[in-house]
Amino acid sequence: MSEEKGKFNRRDFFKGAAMGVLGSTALGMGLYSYSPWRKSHFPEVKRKMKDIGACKSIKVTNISETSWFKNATLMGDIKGAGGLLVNQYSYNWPPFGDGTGLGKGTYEKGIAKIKHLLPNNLEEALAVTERLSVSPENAGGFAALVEVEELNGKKRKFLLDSGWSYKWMDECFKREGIDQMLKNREIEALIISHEHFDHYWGVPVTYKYDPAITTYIPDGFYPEGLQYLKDAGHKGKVVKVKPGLNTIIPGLATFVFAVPIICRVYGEQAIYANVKDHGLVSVTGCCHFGIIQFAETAFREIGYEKNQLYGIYGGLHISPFEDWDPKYDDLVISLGKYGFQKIGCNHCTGVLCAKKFIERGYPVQKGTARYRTPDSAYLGNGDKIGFGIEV
Amino acid sequence: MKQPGKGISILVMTFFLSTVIYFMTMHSHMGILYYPWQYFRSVAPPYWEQFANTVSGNFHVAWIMCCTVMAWIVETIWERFPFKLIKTDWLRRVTAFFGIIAMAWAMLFFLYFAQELTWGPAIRGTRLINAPDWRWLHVGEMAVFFLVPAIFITFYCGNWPRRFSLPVNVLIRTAITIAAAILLYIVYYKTSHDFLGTQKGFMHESQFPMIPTIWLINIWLVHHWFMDNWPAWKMIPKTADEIVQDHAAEKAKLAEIRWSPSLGWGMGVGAVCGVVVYFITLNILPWAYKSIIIK
Repeated sequence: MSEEKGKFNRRDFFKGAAMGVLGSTALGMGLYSYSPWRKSHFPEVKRKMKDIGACKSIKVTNISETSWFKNATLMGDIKGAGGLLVNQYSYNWPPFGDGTGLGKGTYEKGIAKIKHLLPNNLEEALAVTERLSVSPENAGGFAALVEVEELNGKKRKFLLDSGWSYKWMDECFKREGIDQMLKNREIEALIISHEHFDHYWGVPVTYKYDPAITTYIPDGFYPEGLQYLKDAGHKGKVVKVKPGLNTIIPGLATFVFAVPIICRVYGEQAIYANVKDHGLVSVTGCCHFGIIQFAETAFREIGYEKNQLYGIYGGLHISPFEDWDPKYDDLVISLGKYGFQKIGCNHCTGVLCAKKFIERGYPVQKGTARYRTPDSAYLGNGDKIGFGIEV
Repeated sequence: MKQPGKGISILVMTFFLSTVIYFMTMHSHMGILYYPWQYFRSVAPPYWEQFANTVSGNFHVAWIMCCTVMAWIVETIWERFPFKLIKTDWLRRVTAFFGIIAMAWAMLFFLYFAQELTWGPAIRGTRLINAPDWRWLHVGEMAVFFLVPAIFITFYCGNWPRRFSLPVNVLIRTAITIAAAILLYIVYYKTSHDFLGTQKGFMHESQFPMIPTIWLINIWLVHHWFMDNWPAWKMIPKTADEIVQDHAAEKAKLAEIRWSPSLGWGMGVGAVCGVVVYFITLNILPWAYKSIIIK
């Protein structure tokens, strides 16, 4: 020790300072960072209360919620192709099968086999794709008809997604009369929730009946997806919706979330409907961003009737493969506090999740389990749900 | 006890304690995977639910990862400081054990808070970046980013710097490690989608930076322990004299750290500076995170 008594020693001072900095920083981190005081650092949530108008009612017809028929087949293909991060166009699934086998496909090679047949000769395209694709029998699709009744009583129709399998979706469209509605141009727009195979790859089925339909896609489509719009025979207007709120008609808006999604997809949009005297209704495709995020976003962004989150329809992306994780229980436990009064879930929500909702006493509208829907715990194919209107 | 009895005993005891820790931390997580919840086979809902705002065991993954990182930091760039200042063996060991856990919890809370400052408070029931379970897991992932530079400094930089007193050396290395970890974090999230096949952004379900970082660390461990850093370094075993000199130098270094008024003043000023640094960091973090633009 070089310090003489009472004399300042620079080396000792720096030693102490180093220890002091390390100690007090660690102490601050430990005592303050998870304490209630930390909340003073969070900015106050300011509601934007954006007015999207209001509608009288909204009715949703489940054209198909069955995106695939066997989880094991789908997951087997995904694992075999390299996992959930693999580009979905490489799976060699229909309609982009090129005969080279699982995980070896590309959009370009696949579409080259059927492009000349789209959108009017889907039967032949189907025959080609069944021959060249992996697991063609497993493809289904997600699509829903959204009917909005304006405050003046006028009804307007929108199609949410166009499914996957040409064959299955055509059958479903015919079953619900969507084909005729499209032919008659009663449906004014196709809203694609996201680029996933089971929501988007069946788009030629819509264009077969109405190639000029206005199509809303979320910003974030990959080049293959954008090219498919053209190759599928679309002749109408394409609206690329930027992340955030986009009002479509009074009372109906979409919101795009810039989220990365499995199978190399980016961005998803979902629908908000503000129903007069009832509240806000969420209509989602897969809801990869999460229904509670959707509800919280609505709270921050939109002004809605009675300040009430009223209803839900669609996939909630909780347990799409009927697997489970404790974090899903977080959602099941938390959803109750948002006060939804009518829940029409299906698709990637998972049957198990729907059962857990029911057990907790949530107002889940059960279905009829028809047309290959596996369980009546949620709204199945051909089932309808109304918000502000009884169906 | 002689070998191999001693080694086998340590192995058995480690396995036993690991099992106890597993039951304490992850058994409830596994128990509620079942439908219905295994109320009687596991604690359901888990005891940490209210504290961690989630039923997910990711909360434990987070603090255990922080403990791992902290243990390595103490062992490498901190050269077991400050615990090696304690002369009594049992006291030093007990203090080190609980001290490392305490510092790991400080790290845990801070890294969770850092995310809250950046992305807003977690909302239970949401997915990925906004969900508490994901945030806890991300704490563990962030922690491992600190381990990479710490190990590099020790293995490949000879624990630079060594010219100052031990606490100052430790502080400088810690600052370098923090800066390098932040840089690595930014580089990882800006580029990983180009070479790991992950999705862009922080929050993809399969975005799991612990895997490549631990993988890299494992390679370094093998390279350092089993290959003596060859071929970049050539191993020249120390002579007995050199080893004796090292031990003497180590003793002298420790003896140098003892109480004096200057040390006390330094600690006081340092403590204030530490608090200031902490609160400045809280204000810088949201801005810093926002400047990480991933295209």
